[in-house]
Amino acid sequence: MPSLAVDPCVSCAEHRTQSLVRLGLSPDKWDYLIALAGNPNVGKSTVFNQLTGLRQHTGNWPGKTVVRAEGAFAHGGSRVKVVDLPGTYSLQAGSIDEEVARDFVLFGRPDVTVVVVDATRLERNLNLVLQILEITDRVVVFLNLMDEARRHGIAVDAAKLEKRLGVPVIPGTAREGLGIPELLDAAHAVATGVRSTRPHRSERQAPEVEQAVGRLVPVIEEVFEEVPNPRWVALRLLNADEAVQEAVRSGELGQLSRDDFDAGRSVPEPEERQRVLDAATRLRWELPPDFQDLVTEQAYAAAEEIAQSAQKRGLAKAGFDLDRRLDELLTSPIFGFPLMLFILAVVFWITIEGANVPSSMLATLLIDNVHGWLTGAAVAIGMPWWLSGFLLDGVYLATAWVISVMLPPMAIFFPLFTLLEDFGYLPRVAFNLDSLFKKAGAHGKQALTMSMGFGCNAAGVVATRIIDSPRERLIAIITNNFSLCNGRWPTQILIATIFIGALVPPEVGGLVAAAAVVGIAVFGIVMMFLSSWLLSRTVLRGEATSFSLELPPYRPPRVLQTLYTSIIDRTLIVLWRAIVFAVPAGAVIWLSSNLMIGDLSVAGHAVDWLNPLGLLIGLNGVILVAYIVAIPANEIVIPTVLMLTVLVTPDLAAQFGGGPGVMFEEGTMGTATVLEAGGWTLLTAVNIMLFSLLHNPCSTTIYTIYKETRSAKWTTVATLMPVAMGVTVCFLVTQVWRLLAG
Amino acid sequence: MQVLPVVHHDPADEVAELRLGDVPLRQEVELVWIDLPAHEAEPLLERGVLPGCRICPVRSSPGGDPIVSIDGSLLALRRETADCLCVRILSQLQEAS
Repeated sequence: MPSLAVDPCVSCAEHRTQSLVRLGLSPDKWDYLIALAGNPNVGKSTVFNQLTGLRQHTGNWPGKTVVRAEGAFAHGGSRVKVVDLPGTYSLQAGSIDEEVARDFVLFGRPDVTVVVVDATRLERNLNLVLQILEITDRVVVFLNLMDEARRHGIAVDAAKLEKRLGVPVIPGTAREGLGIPELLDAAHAVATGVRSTRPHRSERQAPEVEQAVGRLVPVIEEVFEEVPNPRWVALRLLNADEAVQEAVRSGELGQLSRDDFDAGRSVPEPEERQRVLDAATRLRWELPPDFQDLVTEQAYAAAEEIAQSAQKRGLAKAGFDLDRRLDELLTSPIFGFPLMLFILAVVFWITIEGANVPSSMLATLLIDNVHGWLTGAAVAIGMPWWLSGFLLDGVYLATAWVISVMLPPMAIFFPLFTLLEDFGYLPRVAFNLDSLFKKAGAHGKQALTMSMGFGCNAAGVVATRIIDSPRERLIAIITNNFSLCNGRWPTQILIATIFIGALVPPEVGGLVAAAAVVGIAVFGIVMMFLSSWLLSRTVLRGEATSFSLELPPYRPPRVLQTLYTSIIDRTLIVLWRAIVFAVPAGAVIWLSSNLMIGDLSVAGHAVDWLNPLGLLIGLNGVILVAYIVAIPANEIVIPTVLMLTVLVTPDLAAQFGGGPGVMFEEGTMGTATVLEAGGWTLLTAVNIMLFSLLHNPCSTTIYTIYKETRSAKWTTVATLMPVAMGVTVCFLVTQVWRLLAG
Repeated sequence: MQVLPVVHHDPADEVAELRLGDVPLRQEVELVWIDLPAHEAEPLLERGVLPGCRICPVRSSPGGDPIVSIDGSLLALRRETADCLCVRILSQLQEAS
């Protein structure tokens, strides 16, 4: 590690704030490494964003960060790397996200670990702080949410806490940037060793435990000479902690102390390391069976005692009653579900009503005007027809269509959804739905991963790491696809607007269309319960394990920042992904429409071949081909359907004069004309909405499922099960519909 | 003088009767003991559900599961979990009101 010159000016707080240069993503080299640890939902990600200037999305619910995020900034002449760890209640890793956090604090060799602490729940948060202090002495505690503590009538004495813990304690409110400069100074001072700490460590255990520890410590010290806290290692080994046992077995433990990382110290011999493990096993037999309870009790008692000494409760409260009132309504046995549907419907209604005008404006601009202008220019410079066809009618139009149809609804829907998330509504949804998940034999936190899936299924699958039972996690992974994702919302909204909203007078069209989309989303949730239930009764048999979920306080969403981050993070990223896939898809469709085999194009053959199956399930060959083309990204289903419909409907091609494989669009009404000419009916619309919900996940999600499960079998199940369900449901709907319609 | 018989009581036996799941809403109780195996009790302990702490059921969900207030925060439990938490009523006064 390069040495850091300490300039007196640099250590002044004023200088620091000014010299904080946010570097954004991780650099290759850094002078020191900060790990951010803490309980779930205490604002680690907010601190992370404040430090790095990155816009890692912060949601008001536990388990938002399941993987570690990395960023960097320059401060006082040093390059600092920051790692944001998943929230964890303790270092006794239960679920995978907790394991990530624990392993990093243990083996990631951070130069300083900043523990973010919720000032309103000091006692519970201190438990983790004390555990981290047992491992490393380079710790700074950031006492976050001081504003909320004040509102709840809690005063925390930071100076007293600092004295008790023996490490710097910085009070602040990360959302408003308060305390961040002081935190930087403290972290810098501790990381560079300018400020030494005397961390609080558990001194006395029950006599039996002390005796066993006393006999194990010398063995550890003999084998691993430089381990910073042999007492902690001894306790963990007596507790049969697998991660620590493994660290001893592999010799990694010897490198735990940061300074000898580069020194190339020799790792103890395997026999020596085994000696430590054997000694621990032998001593464990001599301990009373409730030994673990004794140690746990001791730790909690220490946390409680320190918390009590440093805080005053029951001061004037404000705002807390409002929370209760809201909760009484939002999680009420009577109003809970109706309100949930109502809120969802309002979000869609605003999206549908609001997106119409900008969508058709964009379509006029990009498709009518710019496309015409580009075609004219291509003719003027004498571009061959196949090249201008390929580039303008294939690639350009596919992209333009995706932008004009997807950008406006996404730019409205995502910020609204993000506001709900920041407000703290999602855990309430999870709570409302939990009794159903319990009946389905699934984990209560599956409701959270489901909500995540409403954004992106791949993200939802990764989010299942918060579920500690492997059986229930697998169920959550397999059924996540039943959450309608970003790529599918626009299809649902568009088709509902054209075919279902049009059934009623225009004044209520938007409302009816919104209700239809909510209906599909709710049907997806029903299918999720049904398939979870089926899985836990058959191949993934088992009972639901107990779980508890913390309901975070409502936090007023920061509207402007939410708008900014949700447009940058979600809207543009999703749009970019759609464009990236639309470009080659547009090219492929144009090529396959213009390459002839006999007297029919390649695409024509495929459509003809799939048409009988399509008609049987109330769809058509075009839609099935589109779903195959759209495996990489659901976003391009509708553009593909439109291009192919024009191709196989010669009248249309002549009418619009675009030639085969050309996409055109004149607002939603233009889309309606094309689809109706392609033989679409209300039944087709209903079925495509159902099939859009129930079909295979996109390729990114399939890959993510494979990465998370490491099992080809479960990946296949997760991929094919929804398709089978979709085909069945569409088939039944069609047959019943035709029977009723005569 | 009457000699009172000495009754030896084991707190666990005495309170095993009353479980959090049976406590009416807004009745504050003290947690005495968690009747769960260690690996299932641990997540509760980490969330602040410790013997000796005060718990108050504040609401029940659409499905009948309790939300309890503990250490100033709200925790949603499943009914099965609440039935494994042995508690004791803190004050008779609160019960009367």
